[in-house]
Parts: sequence; C-alpha cells; structure tokens
Amino acid sequence: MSTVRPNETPISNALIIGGCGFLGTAITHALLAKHPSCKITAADIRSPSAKPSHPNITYATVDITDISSITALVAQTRPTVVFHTASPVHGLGREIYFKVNVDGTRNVVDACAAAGVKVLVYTSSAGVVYDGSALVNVDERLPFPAIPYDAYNESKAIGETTALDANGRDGMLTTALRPAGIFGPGDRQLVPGFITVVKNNQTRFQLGDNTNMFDFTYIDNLAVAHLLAASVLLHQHATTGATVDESVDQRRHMDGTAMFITNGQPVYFWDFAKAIWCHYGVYNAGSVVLPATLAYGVATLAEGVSWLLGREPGFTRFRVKFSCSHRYFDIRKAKELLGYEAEISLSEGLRRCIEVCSTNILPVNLCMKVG
Amino acid sequence: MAKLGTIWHYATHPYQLRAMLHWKYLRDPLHFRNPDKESAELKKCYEFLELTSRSFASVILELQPEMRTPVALFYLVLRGLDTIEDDMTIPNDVKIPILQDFHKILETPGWTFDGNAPTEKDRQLLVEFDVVITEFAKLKDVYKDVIRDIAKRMGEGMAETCRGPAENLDGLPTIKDYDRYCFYVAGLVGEGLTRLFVPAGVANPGLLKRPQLYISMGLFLQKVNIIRDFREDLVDKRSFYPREIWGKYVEKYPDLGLPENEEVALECQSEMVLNALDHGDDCLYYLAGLKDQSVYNFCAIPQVMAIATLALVFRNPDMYQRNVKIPKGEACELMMDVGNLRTTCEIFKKYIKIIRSKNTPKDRNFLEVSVKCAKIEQFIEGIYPAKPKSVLPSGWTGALVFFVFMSFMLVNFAFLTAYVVGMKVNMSPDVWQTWQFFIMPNETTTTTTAAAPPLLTNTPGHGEL
Repeated sequence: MSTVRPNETPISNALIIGGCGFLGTAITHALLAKHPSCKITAADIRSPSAKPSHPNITYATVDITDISSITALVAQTRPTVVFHTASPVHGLGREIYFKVNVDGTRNVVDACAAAGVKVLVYTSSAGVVYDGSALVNVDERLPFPAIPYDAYNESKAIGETTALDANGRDGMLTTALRPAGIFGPGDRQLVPGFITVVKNNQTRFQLGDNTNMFDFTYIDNLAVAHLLAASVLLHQHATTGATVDESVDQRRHMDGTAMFITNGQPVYFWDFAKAIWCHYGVYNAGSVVLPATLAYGVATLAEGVSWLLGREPGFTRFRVKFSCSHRYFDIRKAKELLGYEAEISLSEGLRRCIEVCSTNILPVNLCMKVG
Repeated sequence: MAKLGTIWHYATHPYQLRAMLHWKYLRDPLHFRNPDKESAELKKCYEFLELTSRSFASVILELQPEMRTPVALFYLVLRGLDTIEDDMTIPNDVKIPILQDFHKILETPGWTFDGNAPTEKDRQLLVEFDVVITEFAKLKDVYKDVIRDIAKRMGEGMAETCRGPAENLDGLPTIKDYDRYCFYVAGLVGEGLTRLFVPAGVANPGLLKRPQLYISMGLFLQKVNIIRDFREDLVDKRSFYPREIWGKYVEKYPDLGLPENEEVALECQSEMVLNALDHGDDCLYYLAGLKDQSVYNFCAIPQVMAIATLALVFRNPDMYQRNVKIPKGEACELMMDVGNLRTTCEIFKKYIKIIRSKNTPKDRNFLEVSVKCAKIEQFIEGIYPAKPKSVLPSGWTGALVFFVFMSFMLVNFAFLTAYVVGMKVNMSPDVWQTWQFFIMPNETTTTTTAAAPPLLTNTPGHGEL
C-alpha cells in the first residue's frame, strides 16, 4: 500500500448514479481506463439506448426519488464507492429540481450509509455560490448566498449540504465537487450555444470589453477529478477515517467539504467564443463592441417587447450579465488535495468537442457560407 | 527619418519624455558608491562593469553596499566566461579547459587571458582579469562559495555547448533542450543571486526552497532575448529557437525571415512568446520574496523590460527583419514605475493587455495565449484582489439609468404635447405637491416651502406660458 499514492488507491466496485448521462458516461470511461479491474454499475432512470458492452459494466435502472428503488440497488451491487451525478437538466420546474436534488440525494445518502458504502462523491455545481454578481477568483471559503440565484442552484446547494452532512455516518466519507462550465463532445448546452451564434450570423457583436474571465471544465477532466476524489477518500477511509475535529481548516481536508473543479485555465469570455467561432471560419468576431451598460438597457427593452408580443426573448439581461462578468475560481484546494491537473487543455478539449459538434449540428455547407 | 520617428514618438508619449528627463537629471539613487574607500582594484572592477554592461551597471551600482560588490564581481565572472565562450576564434582545445576550470581560475592570483580576438568587445576584461581575482579573494566565504559553484556549473554547461557545431541554423532540437540551454546561461544566474541574497538577509529564505521561481526569473529574461534576437543571431549564424516549435511552421529555420512566410512566422513567434509567458507568474511570485528596495529594483527592472519587450515583439513582423527594441523613454518610464510589487503587477497587467489586443483568432495559438494572459491576471488577482467596481452590478446601473432617462423623456414628451396642443393642465394641489417632491431636493428647506404657495396659486398649464 505504501508505494501507491493516495490519489491512485484502486477502486474495486463503483456505482454511478446518472451513469448514462453526460458526466456519468465520462466517469465510466475514465474508470475503465484508470481502474481496469473495477466492477462498474451504471444506474440511470432509464436504460440507455446504446449500451457500450464491457464485461466490467453492468447497467441498471434506478429512481432515486424512490427510497426502496435505490436501497435495493445498493444492497444488490454492494459498491465501495458511489458517484452521485444525477441531476435534472435546466429549464424544468422548481418541483422537479427539489424532488431529485434534495429528496433524491437524501435517499442516496441514506441508502449508501445503511449499506456500508465507504465513499460517496456528490457532483454539485459551481452555481451554488452564485448570487447574480461576479465571481472573481473565489475559493471554497465563499459561503452560499443568502438569497439563492434560482431554484436549481438552491436545490443543488441543499443537496450538497445533505451529502456533506452525512460525512462520518457509519464510517462513510463524503465529498462534493463543484464543476463550472462543463463542456465536451456530447455537450448540448455550452458549445452548441456558441455555435448557434454563428448560425444566426451574430458573431460580430461583443458585449462588454472582454476583460471578464471565465472558467470551463472539459468533461474528461471532471471525470478524472471524481476518480481522484474517490481514491483519496478510500485511502483516508483505510487510514484515519472521517475528520471529526471541526477546527481543521476546511481547505485542508476533503471529507465533509466541497471543492471547485475547473480546467484551471480561466480565459476571457469572448476569447473562448472567438476560439470556437474561428473553427467555422469567423475570424473577425467582436468587431462591434456594445458597452455592458448599454447592452443591459437594450436587453431590458428587448425583454419588455418580447413580453408584450408574448414571445421568448432571444436577448436577455441574464445573457448580458453572464457574458460580461467574471466567473472564475481558485482551484488550489483540488490541486493540493487531489493532485488534480487538467489532462486535456482548454484548446484540445475544444478541438475534440467541435469535431463532434460540426458533424452533428452544422451542415458543412452552412459553415462555408458563414466563412 | 528615424529621427523624425523618434520626435513623433515622444510627441505622442510625453510621459515617456518626462520619465527620461526625470531619470537623467532629477532622480536620487538609492545608494551611492564611495570610491574614496575602495581599493585600486575594486575601482578597476567597477570600471569594467560600466564598460561591459549597458543595462545592468546602473542597477548594480545602486544596490545596497553589502550586496553591491558581490553582485558586481559575480557579474564580471560570468561576463568573463561568456567572453570566452562567445569567441569563435579560440580553438576548442584552448577554450574548453578554460571554461571547465573557471572556478579554479578564480583562486589563481594573477591569471589573465589575452587569447581573445581583437574584435571581441570585452577582451580587456580578461586581459586584466587579475583585478577581479584579487577582489574576489576579499569576499566573504559564503559569497565566494556561491560564485565559484555557479561558475563551475555554468562553465561545464558552456563547454558542452562548445562541443556541438560552431554554426547552427537548426536551433535547439526540443523545448526541453531549449529550457536546458536557458537554464545554463540564465537560470543558474537566478540561483546564484538568490543564494547571495538569502544569507545577506535581503530575500526570504523560502525562495531557496522553490527552485522553479528563481529558474523562471532567469528563463524569462533569456527567452525574451532569444525571441527578440532572431535576426541578430541569424546574421551570426546562430539559432536557439527549438526545432520542436519552429518545425511546425517552416521547413528551414531561416525561412522564418522570408516575407512570403510572414503569416506562419507570426504564429511561430506567438508560440515562442507563449512559451516565455509561462514564466510570468513565477517571476512575480519570486519578486514577492525580496525584502530590500535596491535588491527589488535590481531584480524587477529586467523583468518589466522583458514583459515590455515581449509585448513589443508579439505578432510584430518587424522582429524578423531587424532588431526591435523598446524606446528609451519607455525603459525610463518602467524603471521609474517599478517601485513595489503592486506597481510591478500593474505594469505586467498593462503589457498583458497590449499582448491581448494584438492576439487574433487567425493565430492557431490564440486561445493558448489568451489562457496564459488570464493565468497571470489570476495570479495578480490572488495577491491583490481588485475592489468591486460599484455597489450595484453594472447591469442594474444601466437599467436604472435607462429607466430614469425614459421617465424624463416621457414627462418631457407629455409637457411638450400639452404645449403643442395648447392644453390647459390643471393640477390639483395634491398632484402639485407630489410633483414638487420630485423637483425639490429637500422638503425641509424653508425657502422651498415658502416659495410653494405663490407657485401653487398661479399654477398655470403650460398652455399659458
């Protein structure tokens, strides 16, 4: 054991909740690559359409909002490590967010603790600390905002607290990872969102002066971070057990605490956009710069007009704010405690992502036309 | 024409002109030499220092007394080594033993060397090198050990380079070789200086535990020089760009200078800049460990010159054709502004901004350069968090301004309409008082309340005005 570094502690039996989702799939692949002898159970609400078959992977269906369903699954598979990545997509209602993220997480925690699971890694979100204002180089010392930004982030924060509070229960160690700006092949939000701008031929507009920095996370790096977290906690489980001393700085230990995960490469927001757009032959993006304040006023007007016409506004205040303010994190905690470094750089990740997106979303002739 | 350009430059950059005049005529150096108390040999050493170094002499001379002589002698020793290595007329069987034994030479009183070509500009230093050896012997043992050790290792590194081909137009093979070369010629200097500073109590001992920081200090300067000196080195039939980088852009190294390759050459250049920028945050980190103002200036001035040069050469096609340099006024401005870590960080941010403004998505290194700039900015933010700009998020301010503006327009429009239509606006006293609340800054002011009744009595509609 002594020759194995804590962050390389082998994982023998893992259950991935949300195992067929974007992140769950990435974790499955990372496990196959880094822990080849690990027995993997990928559980999701629905069984996947196309299952990659591998002797180590078992697929299961589970409904975490139903305690008996998750208890049965954990009892049947007896995992040592559970990755809880399941979360509803944005744009659904408050009710569903709370049902899955709060009640569901409580069910997972209860089932895992009861079944003697050693390590639970909960996938939170960097949004839990977002209150609508800029996030400048923030680390884990920043508390949750007094008023949560929206129902989704509120439910994620409660879910995170539920998971972390369970640390030490029946010897189980828990941690929460807070990724920001996840992207990668198969991502349906971030990169495709930027590509839509090319489609709409709106790349010439830049909101704000492009000094605001943004953090992104390539999906495979996030998956690796999950494995590192599980390994470090397994090592801790075998050695010291849960940290009970509350006076220990929460930045010095992982169990019972959350940590931000990003690529560790914050970049200027519009530079990221331009880097995507240049793959579609747009090199002169951002030639028209709208000051943030003006853009905000215009967005207010646009929202008003859309409201009057009863249409979905395309240009909103949220978008202006999102693209004009800082949103980046200090991930030294993850680097120090996990030995985490992004294996796939931002530009390499983007290249891989666009390879897939180009074939799926933009017909080639459209790319030519835009170029 | 060059003159005219200079005049234009200072006409448009008056602050630089001011800095230049200030630097030359008004500034009090932090520390002075006292030549009366110096031996004849030491005086000679300082003469050599001023002869051999354009940029370093002034900052070395201003170092605090404890550090001045060790650093000056360290510089002369390295300059001596360099002069031997650079001279292509010395055959290798003479050159290599001298380089390898240079640390022993420092212990050999009376050693001199006149084998340099007459054209070698610093040959006189070696002809009278015995003065350096005499003064070296007088240094404290801690300083001597450091200088000797660095001279030994650098001599070995140089000897190894000399065994390679004399003319090289292929550059160094890999980025690792490039880093290794830069370590021998510059990283070691960073190490030596740090080992001089720490025993003297002018630097945080923690700096010795982080070799990466002092190595970065040297590598950053060296890499910037290598990038900038493309043309000069090409004329001398030398090249240091790693093939691992330039090989991606052109077939043969000299092709980088051809006009038809301008676009790819610029991309090669930005990758070289990217590679150098990697050391930026380490340099700032290192500077945070210095405790004496004169030592701080000595270390920080070359670094800010380097970032300024990097910003100047970045995506600048002129660099491949001639030797580009930052204007003297800009250099003076930098030397004046370097001050402390906070102002140094401001200078770094200023040049990062210039680099970003020249960065373009056409360049395949666009995103990487942007990430590296952001990395340095994040580091600076970590040590000097910026104050939030305003209490209200800018968007709300905007919405508020917009709303207020629209309200005024609405009211103006209403009154204008009333005026045009000739409508009589009859306001009830209640409405008038509400309206007054908006236009009167303070309702407790007695004059306003006194003035209110007469206004109230003849409250005509605008139609009567």
